[in-house]
Amino acid sequence: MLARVADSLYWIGRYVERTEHCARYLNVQYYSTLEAPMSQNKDFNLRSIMFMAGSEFTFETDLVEKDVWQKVIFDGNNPDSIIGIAKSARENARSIRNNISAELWESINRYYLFCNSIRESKFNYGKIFSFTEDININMALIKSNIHNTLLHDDPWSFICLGIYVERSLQVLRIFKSKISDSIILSDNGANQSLLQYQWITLLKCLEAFDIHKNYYKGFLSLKSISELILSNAAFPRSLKYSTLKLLNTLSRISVKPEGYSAMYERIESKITERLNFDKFSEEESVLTFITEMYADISVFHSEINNLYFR
Amino acid sequence: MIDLLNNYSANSEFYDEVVVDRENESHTYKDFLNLLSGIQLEEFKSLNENAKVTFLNQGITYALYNKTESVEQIFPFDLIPRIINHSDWIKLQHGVIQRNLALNLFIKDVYNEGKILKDKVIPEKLIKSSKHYCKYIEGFVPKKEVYCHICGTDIIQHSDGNFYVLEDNLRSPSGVSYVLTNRMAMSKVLPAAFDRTTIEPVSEYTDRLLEMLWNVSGRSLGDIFCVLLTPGSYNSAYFEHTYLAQKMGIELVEGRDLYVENDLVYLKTIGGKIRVDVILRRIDDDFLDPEVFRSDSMLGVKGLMKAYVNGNVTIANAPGTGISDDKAVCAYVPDMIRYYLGEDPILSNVPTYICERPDELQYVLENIEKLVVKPVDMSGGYGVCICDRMSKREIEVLKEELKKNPRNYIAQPKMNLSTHMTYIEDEDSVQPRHIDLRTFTILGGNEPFVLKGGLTRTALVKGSIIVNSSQGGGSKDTWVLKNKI
Repeated sequence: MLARVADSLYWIGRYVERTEHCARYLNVQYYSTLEAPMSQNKDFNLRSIMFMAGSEFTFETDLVEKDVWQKVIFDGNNPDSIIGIAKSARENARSIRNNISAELWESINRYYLFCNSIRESKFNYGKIFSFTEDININMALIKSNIHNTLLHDDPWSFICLGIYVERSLQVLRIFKSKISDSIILSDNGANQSLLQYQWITLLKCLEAFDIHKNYYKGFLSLKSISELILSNAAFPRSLKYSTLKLLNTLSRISVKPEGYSAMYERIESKITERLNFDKFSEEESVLTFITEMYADISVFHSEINNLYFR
Repeated sequence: MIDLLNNYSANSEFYDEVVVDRENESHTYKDFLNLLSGIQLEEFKSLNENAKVTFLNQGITYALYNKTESVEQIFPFDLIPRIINHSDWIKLQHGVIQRNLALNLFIKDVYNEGKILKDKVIPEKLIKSSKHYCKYIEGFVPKKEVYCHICGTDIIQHSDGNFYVLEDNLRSPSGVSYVLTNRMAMSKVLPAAFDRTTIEPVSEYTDRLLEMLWNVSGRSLGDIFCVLLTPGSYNSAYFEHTYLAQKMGIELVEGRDLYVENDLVYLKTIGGKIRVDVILRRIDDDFLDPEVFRSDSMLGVKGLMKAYVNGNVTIANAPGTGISDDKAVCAYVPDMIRYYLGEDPILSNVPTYICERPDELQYVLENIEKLVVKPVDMSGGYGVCICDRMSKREIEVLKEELKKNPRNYIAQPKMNLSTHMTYIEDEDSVQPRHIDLRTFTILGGNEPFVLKGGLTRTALVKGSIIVNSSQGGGSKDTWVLKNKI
């Protein structure tokens, strides 16, 4: 397989996964404003959305909703906007369309055309729900095509590798964003029920609210949440699940160039070491852990990039 | 649709293929028009929409460049096919094969002995001054002596009913994927049309193309590794590159995917190295190899030309074939046919005045209002001046330019491109529009092969004779009737 093709496959996986998390975060975070226990500052939520989408923002003035949608959804020049990600996913797919199934290519292309058909001038908060729902349906279709219309050999593995690298990063990113929110709120002397509400929002952002409720029988704490998100191997959006899948996918790639074994061992021992973390109830420790682990995964990305795509 | 069809008429100044067919009662279009008559306009419109969505979802698009960005468009496709009867086609087919065989011999001659130049059939200066003349391959003969593996010949039907060759495209002619996808769309949207009329298939094209690539590789079957070299996904014909590579099952590569080591060409893979034997290239000579051509090329492969002249890789089409794309050289093709093949040309050229010849320049300057002036080395319809549509001032500017740089221009009488019934969306009607035909010939396979039919391009703007997609043209499925036995 061409190095360039492997690179594009990997990025298709990353962009598809990124879209899913961004859309869900946008949806949950925006609607959380509407049914908060006490009137939450809308500005606060919009800032949180901007933070998640990686967009730069200034603190001086109040954020205007329209500007947020522009930055987070429509700005084609912002590579982290919904449209920007759709464009990149599609460009990658287009440049290697011969190496993927027609079904997969067409589902990515259709998603891109769908995004392009949304008019910024006609967009308002009433459309957030249906827009993000449509994105989710598109992503489900694309993922189904990834898993069901490709031979499960190396090209497929590179897509999966991208998916799990991105998922590990996004889970950490979402967690970090909500911990930061909670720290800001505590500093501002917000009450317990508002803090609790932030945790619920976090779980919803990872589609883990129902799972958490069933697993912990309704009992909710930083400890239970951290445990579920960081170290429950059965939960597909946990760090443990994503990083173990990442390792497993890496070992499935049949082409093992010089330097492969050393790289694999480095990544494996780092993940094993990190997964020993157990200070789930200490806010500061969790935050430090998340920050360090995020950096580690960025290193994994560079290692994979240097070994296969250069 | 029946009213629309019955009311169809065309300007008698032009040869309208549907009207002439109706008047002559040759019945080429009868079955198809009968079918169309039975379809309501609303239904036809929805079929038309279906066809468009099919193209869009599959990403069958081309990039259109404007000042700031490139915009992707679907290639407008007309559901009313152009139909060529069997005997006309046989003549066309023989004509383009004859023409391209002569051109191939000419290119070989020019880069080797130069007999035709020494015999003064074609002025040496004209060839050696061509922008596309490639000094680097002088004295080198590619495998099987094939230079122009793929030839696109642009043909028009004039008001006298005869076919004329407008120009030859021997660098990397594009458009063939639209022939294949138009047929696919047509058969999906209007399957009934194919029950009534027996036509020649087009699907074997990619098999013939691959067979040719194998044949000119100089290696034994099973060991041959072919690639299609594309400038990348931002190129206007990118869809075509992906399509052809996929249909042939060969790797689609960009320049950065290849490298040269000890004059052998390899593929950059995630693991071991793979040697490349044949490159079907869709990038211009200028960008092929920064060591030989433009040193700023990011699209090419360093050392490729050295590997090529050492016989270690076949490039199709060969570098240097662009000399015969020069519109001034094109005028000499009938002479080449007589010189190399000893035959009379089957297809005529559009009469061409070569501005570099003083007497012809004089004629052009004196009769400029009747002529179309074209730059010798531009494609895509760019730079074409249709003089009877220009202002006095524009004409004066053009005349000055011709006097200053005569080598850069040719002039041709304004040929009346034939017209054809075309569905015009904005007006919900069928109207005559000008068309031409690009045929695709493959040399280097077991025998010369011409794709039956070709790409019929239509000007969509009323009265326009510029059919190029880059200038808002569309296309039609092109049918060649099977011989009735």
